[in-house]
Amino acid sequence: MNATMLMQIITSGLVMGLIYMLIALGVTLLFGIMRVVNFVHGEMVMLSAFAMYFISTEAGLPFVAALAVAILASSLAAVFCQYALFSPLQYDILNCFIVGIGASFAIRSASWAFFGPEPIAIPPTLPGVLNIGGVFIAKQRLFAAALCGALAIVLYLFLQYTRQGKAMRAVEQDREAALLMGVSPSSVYVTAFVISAALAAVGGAMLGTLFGVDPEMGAEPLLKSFIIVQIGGMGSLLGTVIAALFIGLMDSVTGTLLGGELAFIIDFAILMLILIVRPRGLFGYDV
Amino acid sequence: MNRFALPILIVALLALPLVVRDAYFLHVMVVIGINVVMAVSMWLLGITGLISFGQAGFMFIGAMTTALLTKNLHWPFWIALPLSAVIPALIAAPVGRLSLRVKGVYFFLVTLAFGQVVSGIFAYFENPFGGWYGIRNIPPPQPASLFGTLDKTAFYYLALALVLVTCWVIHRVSRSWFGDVLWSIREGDLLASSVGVDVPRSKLIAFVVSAFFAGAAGSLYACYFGYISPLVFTFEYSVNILVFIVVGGFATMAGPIVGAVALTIVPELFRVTGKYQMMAFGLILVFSMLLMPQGIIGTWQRLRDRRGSRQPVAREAGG
Repeated sequence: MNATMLMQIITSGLVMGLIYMLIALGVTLLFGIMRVVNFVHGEMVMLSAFAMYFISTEAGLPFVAALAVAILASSLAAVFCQYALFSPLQYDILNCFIVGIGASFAIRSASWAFFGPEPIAIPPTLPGVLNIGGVFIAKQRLFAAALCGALAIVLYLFLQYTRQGKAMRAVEQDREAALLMGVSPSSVYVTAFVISAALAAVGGAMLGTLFGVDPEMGAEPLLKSFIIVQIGGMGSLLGTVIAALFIGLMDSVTGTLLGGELAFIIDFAILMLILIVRPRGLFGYDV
Repeated sequence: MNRFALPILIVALLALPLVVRDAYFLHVMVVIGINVVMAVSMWLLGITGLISFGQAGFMFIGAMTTALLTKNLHWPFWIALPLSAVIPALIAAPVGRLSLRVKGVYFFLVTLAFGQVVSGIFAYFENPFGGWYGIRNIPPPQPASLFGTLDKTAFYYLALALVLVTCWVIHRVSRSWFGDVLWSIREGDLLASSVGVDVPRSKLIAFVVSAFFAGAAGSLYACYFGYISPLVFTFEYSVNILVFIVVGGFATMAGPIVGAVALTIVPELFRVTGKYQMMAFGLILVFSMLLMPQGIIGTWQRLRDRRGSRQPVAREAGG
């Protein structure tokens, strides 16, 4: 019984960890490439969850079509933000952070006015529960975890083997040198914004199908992914993956034992501990 | 003219309740006072280029101290007020010691998380802290109760006193030798340390001092409104204070004061509340960052310069 319960806690922690990982990867990717901490990321999560709801539940279109529209909308919004907000500020890290907060608040309260404050549930596309050796897991959750994991691997392969991915890594390592090698930073920036928004869109869609949709839903994943990215080290993909799974597990354990409210406080304590021992995070650059 | 402007302003503020007796007007003035203290306290650390998004958290700690001391222990407000400033400062020392190990945007994120943790802890432990419902019926300062019904004029003077003390202290600090040290850190940590500035220690002192005044503002808030809850001292409130500074301008202390006054009055005039206020603040933040990066004060100074008077105006202090 106790071992089953432990397995249950670990499974649900890993599922959450994988979703957080996808959202945090978007944050860390943008930071690594253009040193921008995108505060609007959380609103991308929220807006794409709403897109999912309106297209799959209201309009009745298939899940995949809804996901595609959510990704497209979120990417367009990201590129708009890039040209309207971050590019005029020359990607200055502090100013971009502040402007991002402003934009995020404006979007969030506009969606309060638009969509109303009540959480809306999206009916699951894969109803039913799987029983694996006594551990129960909803099929929808398993699907979300598998999708997030698969996308992380796709991101890794993209960065490792494609031309555009190599260009992105080159810009991350040394912008001037990449420029001299004929890489256009501005096209890399657009790609990075689109990829990051697409990751947020999938993460948001998964959160929406699992926990319902409401205008405030972007805030918590954003804060969590900030903590994750700082523990793992800003700009480090590997660090983000490890930290996200770790935080997901910790949340699940503390949430079951002590209640969800305290889970966040424990996360913060972990972050503080990491800052004492290693201010740059597990795999980060020099701060 | 500049030499007389400040005394005239102070006398006018002191005489104001004798002329205007409208309770709503005085209420707005008290809210402005609280916001000005918060904006100026955040600005002090802002000199070094760091923004503490945990400022509302320190304010909450101060407010909670006042609430618990005056309501549960029946201590007089006049003892609770200094304690409410000292306790956030004492908490700020270790928090700052750790969070100031990281720079720039990392520091933003850590203090942001700190603010959330403060309200998380107060919301979690219902017994002393009241949980999400908060604490209501916090008693007002004692001398006020001698007059039977409590009038807003007393609170107006209390807020004014707090504003004047805060502005005076922070003005002195920012123009002192230590203030120059803080300005030098803004130009770059490495540069400042190369001329012998103890960068971590200076930042820590600024962090602790701003927590001190944030706690005092929280104490005033608690005894004025008589009600505090985790829904008041949110991250959104910290951002509001940042908007005051950005809109007013970073370069002088007049910036946060002008920003806080203007952005408290304007929403009151148009009666925008709740979520629409957050939308307005978000848009104001975006547009003032993009169009008016020097803030109201900076823009005004540039316009004045263009009109001919060629005196150096950089870092001229006001308020």
